[in-house]
Amino acid sequence: MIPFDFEYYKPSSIMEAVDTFRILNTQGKAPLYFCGGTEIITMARRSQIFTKAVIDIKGIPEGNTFNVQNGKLVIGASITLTQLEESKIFPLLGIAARKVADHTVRNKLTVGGNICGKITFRETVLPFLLSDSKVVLAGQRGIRNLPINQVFNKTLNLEKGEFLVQLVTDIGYSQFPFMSIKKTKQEKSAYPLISVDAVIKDGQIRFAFSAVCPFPFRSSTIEQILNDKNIPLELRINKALTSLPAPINNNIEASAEYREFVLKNTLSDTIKALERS
Amino acid sequence: MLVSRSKDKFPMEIDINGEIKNIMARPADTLLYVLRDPLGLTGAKPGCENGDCGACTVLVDGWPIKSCLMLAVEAIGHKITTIEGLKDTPIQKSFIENWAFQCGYCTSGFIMNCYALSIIHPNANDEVIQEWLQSNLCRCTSYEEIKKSVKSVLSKSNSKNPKLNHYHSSLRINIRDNWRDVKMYYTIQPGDSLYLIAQKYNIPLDELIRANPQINNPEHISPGQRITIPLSSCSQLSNQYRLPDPYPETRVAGKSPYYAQLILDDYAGKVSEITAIMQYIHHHMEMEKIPSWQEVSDLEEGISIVEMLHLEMLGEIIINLGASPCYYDGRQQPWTPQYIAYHDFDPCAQLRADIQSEHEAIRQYQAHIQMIQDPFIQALLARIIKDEEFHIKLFSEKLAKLCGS
Repeated sequence: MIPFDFEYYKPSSIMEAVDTFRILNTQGKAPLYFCGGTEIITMARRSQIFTKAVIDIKGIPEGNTFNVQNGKLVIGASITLTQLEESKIFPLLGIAARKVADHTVRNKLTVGGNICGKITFRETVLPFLLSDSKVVLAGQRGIRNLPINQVFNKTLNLEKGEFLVQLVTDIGYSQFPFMSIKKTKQEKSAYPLISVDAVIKDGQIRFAFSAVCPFPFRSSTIEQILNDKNIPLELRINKALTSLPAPINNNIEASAEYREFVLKNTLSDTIKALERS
Repeated sequence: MLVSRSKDKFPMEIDINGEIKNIMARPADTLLYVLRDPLGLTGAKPGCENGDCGACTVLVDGWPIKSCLMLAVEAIGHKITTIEGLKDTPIQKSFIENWAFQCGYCTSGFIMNCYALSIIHPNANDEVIQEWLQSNLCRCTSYEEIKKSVKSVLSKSNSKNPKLNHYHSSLRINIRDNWRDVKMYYTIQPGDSLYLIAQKYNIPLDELIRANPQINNPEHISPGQRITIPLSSCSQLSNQYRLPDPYPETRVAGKSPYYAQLILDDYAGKVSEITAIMQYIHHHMEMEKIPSWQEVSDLEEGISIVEMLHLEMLGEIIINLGASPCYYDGRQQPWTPQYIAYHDFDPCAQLRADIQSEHEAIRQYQAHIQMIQDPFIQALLARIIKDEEFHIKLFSEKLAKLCGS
């Protein structure tokens, strides 16, 4: 049971949501936008977060969009990970979504919630980083359309009162060869030791990582090193690991040394497979 | 905007196991808590209450969800099914037959998940089964027996599917064949000639004459006389009772039992294609007995065949959504002839009922377009609506001509 009370609002438009947030914030209620709500409910139950009001954004039509418009795949923030997985419209994204939690959680967990969550493991952001997607954000300043690689740095950098409405991706990216690997300690549905997604575009392999460091990331420096075919593969990988944006995670699930070992092997497998393709 | 400004309990109306329940709950109450405490539905078990164990799994619009990860207030407007809502399902029997439980605490959650799997993925392979079963934990480790139960239900379901597919193919062939083989009639109107009729239906004149050996002299036909239209060579016949625009593909963006429930209402509910087919065929047969109503009788028959095409397309959508196109509505109520507006031997009343039925169908399709966020299904329903609007026009013309209103 959640040990504290909060008010519940379910706006039916973007404007209504933004205004509701502004008013509640002014009243000192520390409102939270609520989509799938799985993280908010579990953290609230453990008293790891507190709020006096939640704003459920699932009633906003734009957030429920899931279609292709003029060659762009438009995915609303309220689309569940199961919907991504079942649609098969963007295979890499479907597989990335499948790496999160288990099936019945994914029936509730939304893509917006996964990307904006506080949890370290946000697998669904990786395909969007790799495909230079754009995000549609709504807040006090109105609607902002921004490249995800510009606005996602460790986390989606939202302004106060702003929320993610949609993700827009060139549908062409759904056709590129890709690899998506999640390594776990034991159970398939457990948190990953490491997670790597990669696609080939214009002969160059792009890489995005989760669980390696405390946040998901894509690094152009690492991509440059790993694509340098003048250097033997093993050396490329060793060199790339010196350019990680943060120290490798070291916790009860796995030591940093073991993660590095697994990461090296995974990168080697990924590169060999994609270079063959 | 749905609002609970109070942090205290407030009234909620939730559809649980097909019944509307009115409860008082806090906005912060989870669905699990509300099911068990105020409602007394203790089949959903509190285990970890953290989204890990799956003991609290229920169906939300047909999808298995952990009720500890859902606020009760989020359930408003959705159909919730708990273990208490399942009665004698194959998966329940299979759990008993395969001894798939020991202490039983995880059983209801497992059954809800496995039941949804059997509906959504009736042809699931080992990988899919494993993927789905990972959502639930059994501390007595009955995993092998549980997997056996699921496989047993799926294999029975799979063994039924070929029949279903065979039936479906037969339906398709029959409908397509009907376009060639069924005896479609045309009632000759004043000013008609066989030449004009052949032109109207885009068929060779000699074939039209051959199809009507009862006509001794093709130059002399009389208004009111009925002739046969040879459908096999009639490329535009279908356009007589439907718009010429092509139908979109019967594709779906992804499987969805909830959407399947909605489409099942259009398929075999009270306001549905099968009701329309049966009603129009009945009206056709009765009107056929009244000489002055021959042309309307032909119209009823022709439109009923268009509705058969709609039925077939909706059936394909239902299959693609992961359900079976049996003649049940979204609440599993079997189709019944009580849905038909008979109006025995009162053709004007029958025509008015037909127009009313078409209006109701359009309203239902429009509502479903709003509820189904799948562009492929939306496109198909929008296209069917065009046909139904055309049918209203055709029926209304006959009503004005023969009934004066």
